[in-house]
Parts: sequence; structure tokens; C-alpha cells
Amino acid sequence: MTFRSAYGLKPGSKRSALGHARGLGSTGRGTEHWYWERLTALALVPLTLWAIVSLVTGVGADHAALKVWMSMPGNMTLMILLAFFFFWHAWIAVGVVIEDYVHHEAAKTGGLIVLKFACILCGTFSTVSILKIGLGG
Amino acid sequence: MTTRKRPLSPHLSVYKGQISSVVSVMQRISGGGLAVGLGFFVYWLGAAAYGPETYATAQWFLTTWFGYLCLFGFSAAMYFHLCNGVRHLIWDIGYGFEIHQVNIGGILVLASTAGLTVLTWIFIFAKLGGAS
Repeated sequence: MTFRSAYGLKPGSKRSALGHARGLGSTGRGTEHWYWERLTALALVPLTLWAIVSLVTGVGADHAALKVWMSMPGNMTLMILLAFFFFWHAWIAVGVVIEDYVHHEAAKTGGLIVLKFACILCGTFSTVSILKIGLGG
Repeated sequence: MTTRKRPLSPHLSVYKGQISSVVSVMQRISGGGLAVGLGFFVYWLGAAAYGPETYATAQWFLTTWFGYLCLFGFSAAMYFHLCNGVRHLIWDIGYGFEIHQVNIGGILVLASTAGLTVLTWIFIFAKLGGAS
């Protein structure tokens, strides 16, 4: 698929890409990043407050106490959601920072790929760890 | 195509720091710090998942002076990012755009961050002191 046909121009068309794009209006998807950044932020407000209270009240707890705490279904659910939204939020927000400050094209693209794989890897590892702590013998 | 090197805006250095701009850039800096903090979060969870020995190592590391310094930084960054994030969400639903509201909001965020961080650490040390 050529660049021109990818943007909906018929093969052999004499129309310029700009002429084709003009007047089409918004794609309606321009606020997608903004929306999900806010949605994940909204989820993280109660989740982080809950996590801070849990962490601070549990200060000094040993491994056995942590296992008991994590084995409670409510705690385990909220911990998995916390990890999930943490890395989802970082995926978007750190991506914006890379896009804003890394101007070398290859470094920017590479940085964004590394960020996304890192978020998936760390999010999965956190979830597996939470399940292992709560469910492991 | 060759282009002349033209100056890029914004020229941050020519502006006097204002509560609005300082708090705004701190949102990015604290977010970056918290991204590093996520590394600690993963390490701590992983250490606990591997067993009591690795968990004890993680707890030892987190209670060294360096560990405490990092945790203190993460807690301050977390409270700041959280409070200012709520301020952003309030703007997003259309409130608080007047200059005086923006300024008051910024000061409120800084004061809440300081208050919550100090309270949290007083509570932590009181609890640790009581346990030993």
C-alpha cells in the first residue's frame, strides 16, 4: 500500500494529499490519549489513597503477615488493579514526556517501544507476584 | 531540505517563576520520579513473591538511609502528583480557571503535599518506635 492510497486517495488520482485532507474535519479520535490519561488518573485517586493507608498501617509487618493480608480477596483485587492502572498511566504519561523531549527520531521511537514493553513486563510481573504472595503455599 | 537553526520557544529562562508554572513543571518532574518509584514497587512485590529471605533483603534495603531517602521522596512525589492531579481533574470538568483560583489551588496543593508527607512519616516513625 502506498502512502497516497493509505490515506484514501485513489491510484492515479491527480488530487494532492493536502487537497484530499482539507475539509474532512476532525477524526473524532484526537482526545483519546487525553481521555485515557484522565480515566486512569481518576481510578488511581482512590487506589493510591487506599494503598498508602494500607502500607502505612502495615509498617513493620513480616512476610507471614503480608501473605495473610494479600490472601484477602478484596486486598488482592485492589492490588492487581493498582498495578494495572499504575502501568497504564505510566504507559501514556511517560510516552508523552518522551514525545515532548526526545527529538531524535530513532531514539524517540525506540524509547516508546522500550517503555511499552517495560510497562507490559512490569505489569504482568507485579500481577503474578501479587497472586503468588496471596495464593502461594 | 536544509533549515536554519531557529530559536525554539518557550524560553523558560527569561520568565520569572510563578506558582502556576512551577507547580505545572513539578507535575512532570514528580511523575518522572514516580515512574522510577514503580521500579521499587515491582522489586518489593517480586522480593515478597520469591519468599521470606528475598523479602527480608528488600526490607533491609528499604530501611537503609538510602532506602528511607527514596521512600520519603516517593511519598512526597506521590502526594504532590495526587493532589495536583485532582486539581487537573477539577479543571477538566470546567472549574477553577480564574487567576486567583489557579494561584490558590497551587498553594493548596503545595501545602497539602507538605502536610500529608510530614503526617505520614510521623505516623510511620511512631509505629516503628512503638514496635521496637
